[in-house]
Amino acid sequence: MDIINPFAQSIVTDAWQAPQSDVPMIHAGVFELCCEVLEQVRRSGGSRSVLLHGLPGSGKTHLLARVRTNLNGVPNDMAATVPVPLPPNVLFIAVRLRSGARMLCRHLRRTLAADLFRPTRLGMSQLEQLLLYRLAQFLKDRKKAQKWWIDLRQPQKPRRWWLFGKTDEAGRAKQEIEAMIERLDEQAALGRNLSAILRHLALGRHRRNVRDWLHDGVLPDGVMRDLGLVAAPEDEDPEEQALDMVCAVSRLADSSTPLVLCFDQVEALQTSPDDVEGLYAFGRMVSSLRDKTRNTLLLSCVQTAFLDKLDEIIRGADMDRLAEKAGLLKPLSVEEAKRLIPVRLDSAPAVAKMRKGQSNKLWPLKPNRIAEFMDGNPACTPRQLISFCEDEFEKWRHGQAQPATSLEEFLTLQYTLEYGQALRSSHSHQTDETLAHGLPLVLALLGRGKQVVDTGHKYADLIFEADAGRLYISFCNQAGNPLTARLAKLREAVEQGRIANLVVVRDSRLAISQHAKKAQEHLDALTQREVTLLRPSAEGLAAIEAFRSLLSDAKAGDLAKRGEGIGPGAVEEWFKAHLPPSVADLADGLTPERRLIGREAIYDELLELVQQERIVRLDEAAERLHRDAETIAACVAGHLDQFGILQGPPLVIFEKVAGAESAA
Amino acid sequence: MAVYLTMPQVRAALLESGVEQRPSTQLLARLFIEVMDELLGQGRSPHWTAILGDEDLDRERWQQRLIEHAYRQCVAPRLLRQRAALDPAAKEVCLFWEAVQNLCIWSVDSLWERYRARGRVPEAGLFNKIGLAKDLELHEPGWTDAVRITDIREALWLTPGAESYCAIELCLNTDGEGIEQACLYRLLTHASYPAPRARKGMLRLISFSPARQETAIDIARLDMLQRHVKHLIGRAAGVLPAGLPVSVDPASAAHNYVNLGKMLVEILRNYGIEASVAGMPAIEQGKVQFLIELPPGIRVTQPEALADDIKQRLRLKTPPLIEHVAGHLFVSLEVRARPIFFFWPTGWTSSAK
Repeated sequence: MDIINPFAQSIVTDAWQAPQSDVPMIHAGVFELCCEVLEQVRRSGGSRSVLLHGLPGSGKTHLLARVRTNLNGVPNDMAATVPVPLPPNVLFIAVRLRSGARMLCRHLRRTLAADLFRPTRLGMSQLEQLLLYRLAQFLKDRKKAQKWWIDLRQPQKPRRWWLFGKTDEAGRAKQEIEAMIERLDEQAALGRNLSAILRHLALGRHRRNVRDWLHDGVLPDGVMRDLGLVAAPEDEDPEEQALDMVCAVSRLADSSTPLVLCFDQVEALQTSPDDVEGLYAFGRMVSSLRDKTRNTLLLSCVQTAFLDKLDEIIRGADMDRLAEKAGLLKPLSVEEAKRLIPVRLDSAPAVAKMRKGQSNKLWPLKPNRIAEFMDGNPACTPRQLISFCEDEFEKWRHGQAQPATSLEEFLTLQYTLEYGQALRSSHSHQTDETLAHGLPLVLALLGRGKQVVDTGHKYADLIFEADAGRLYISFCNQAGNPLTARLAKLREAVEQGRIANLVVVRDSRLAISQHAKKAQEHLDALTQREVTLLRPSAEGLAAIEAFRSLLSDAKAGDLAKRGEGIGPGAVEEWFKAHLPPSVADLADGLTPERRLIGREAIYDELLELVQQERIVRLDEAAERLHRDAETIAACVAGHLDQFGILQGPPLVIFEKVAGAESAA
Repeated sequence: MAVYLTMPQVRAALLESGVEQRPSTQLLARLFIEVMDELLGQGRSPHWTAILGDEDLDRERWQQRLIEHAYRQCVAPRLLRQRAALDPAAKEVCLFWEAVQNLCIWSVDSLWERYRARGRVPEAGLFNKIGLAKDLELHEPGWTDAVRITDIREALWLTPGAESYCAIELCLNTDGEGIEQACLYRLLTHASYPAPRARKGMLRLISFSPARQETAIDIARLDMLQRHVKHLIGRAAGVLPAGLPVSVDPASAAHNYVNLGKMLVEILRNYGIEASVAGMPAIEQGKVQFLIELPPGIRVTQPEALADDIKQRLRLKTPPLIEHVAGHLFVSLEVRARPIFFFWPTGWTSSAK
């Protein structure tokens, strides 16, 4: 029988991850505090905040996972057996704070959107279950809402002539739901766009677009029109918009369904030891959420050693709100350790089977070894104990503990895993977020510039103080009108001399459409004024994503080798020594002497065509783009990160998908 | 010791040209099967269930989404991995991608019809794959050795709403109605599931070439051809003894139908085709089947007209089945339930006598 070491996993990376095993006795006090405060939120109709702190490996994320499991339960398909719409117990949102300071609220919004579509125990998504319940509240017969909800998801049947004049059930349901959404909007002040989005969701339409809009607040122009959405005013701060959306969702959920926002890895907000912007922005955000909502429970997790820094950087009033209640995750007691080990051992079915009938509750581990370890570690955390038990288990199984890997090997392996994951899940939607958080980390590491705060430049997403002066970076990864508007503003700022040394960043996977004439015109005008257009590759972005992920884990104490935490310094040192060429290229592209100025129009045209056709013959591409084959071939050869080639004959171009090689 | 043949060699033996496909084309056929497995049905959660969950209830959107997904998750990784092997088949890769898109459109159409009929978003397990034996050993009386066929990746599918199994495959280099492939699937099914199977019904053959072509072929008709298919396989493996005819047992009732074969040759001559009957006719389930050897490169272009002509001249109740298999013409006449009375019409030449 294949025996898996039940102690192999010692880190819970995400509150949505199901814990391998759980001992309710451990951190029971803090868990009860969370439940108690949640009850206060339900009863009093006011938001509350709890700051959870403990040593690295004390189980902060595990505790969040326990809260989630207790509040949400395990999803199963009970929808058919529930007679009336029920509200979700809570709306649970788990945010890992891997974000740049100026994108914090947008990061929260994205996480909120993703988590709202996670299934509840009734099998529906959190948002759909809430919406159905809220609509049912307007009806005397609540079952009717459920019936309408189901009817609207049935395929439309053609009306027969002899039914002419009879009530059209689906049409009536649609009218009723639209009227109810209007009432809901009046009650909860949802705003025009959110109401429209919820209407589509209730009517079972445009689900993917609904999710995308909740995620970013932006959709292609045509889709926005189709969905009846209006673009946000240009002068409105996107961070404010994101925060407003979160508040609107909290209003949608009345006090019976509190919004539980869990903030994990707060330490990752600090890009460098002297950086204050991220933590300051976090304090402001938490404070705003607490004040602007009436049914939110905010749970924030930090290491105890980080509390002083938090206190120092976050504004006093904001800190008071953030740490309204505090919960300390204490080290493990001997009794807790004795409870934890059997539960872990029994989580592996093969081991559990072998353990049946054993008088030693810790079998196959030796109680005296555990006692010795606990005596020697009075401040033992669950992670340390699990790591120790992993070795003891290996000794029992193989006669010796697993050979220790060097830090170098460990970090190489971790980075490779993170990079592969980042490449596979890489999407141009995440580019802004990756760069906003990752680029300051990379440039600080390479000594190429230090991020500075200057709110005076609205369209500069990042500003660096470099040797050659201030460097302004603007992310232009939008499409359609938002892209044109942004480029127009940048052009105006450059032409008026308000910004010099500007770099426009656009993901290399995003073509500038042939039809976007105005955007092209602005971009050409900008590049003529020595504005750099930087097109980071998917590989470069994935490498930055992997680096920031590792570094965030290290800062939050979530990166450990055999129970021993690895500090951010070690990660930075390793990354600097193994700097991927794609990242080096990206960083070089920001230095004045290495910058490439000018737009390669043919690249965008070809990219657009290949993304549409996926696989196309080179001669056909040349014909459709009205270019000669040699020009196309040269463009392909210059962008082998985007295009694949089959030599043929005939020569065929295909779209490269990031991460596809590792997936294969 | 058995003689080994790979599945591509067997397929080549069944083709009129007898030429094996290029390795790159064989690779594309294999990739097509892999893509189909991932998209439609292997495992509890085929890809389509995960991606259609949050898509609008709209057939075209489903199609677009599945095509996008098929490229990103199934095709692109394989293109990158097999780039070197596929380099010489660039043109076929374009056709392959077209075929994958048609596969997505067809499968979404099946799912959509299911949704229309049931009113629920389809759940996993609708495309049911029936795996066939990975290796197959054939023994036939008279063969000098057994033949072992390896590298079998073919499978049968039960599609939503369909009652009969179907074979789905990429078919870039062949024409005709696919009777050879259908025969092969029938042979594989028999070998994989030796228990008696239904001898009635249809086998659907869905070929993407790259457009979708669907043919339903009577299983009884395929059963009639099994012996010949085995003969061709035996010939490809070199296990046939020299001079052995296609039909053995000269003492059988087949001798009674020799003159009927001569008449068929005469009728074909009227169509300008100089043909000859190869071996003895096969008799099975009330049908007598003749294997007619055609001159190289010659095909009957109007089989329906020929069938009508034969029916009329031989005074048959039903028109005969006429099909091309691997460069041969098969003519099956219905002889069940009544004896055939035929006479020698006046005015015919007698060169076939």
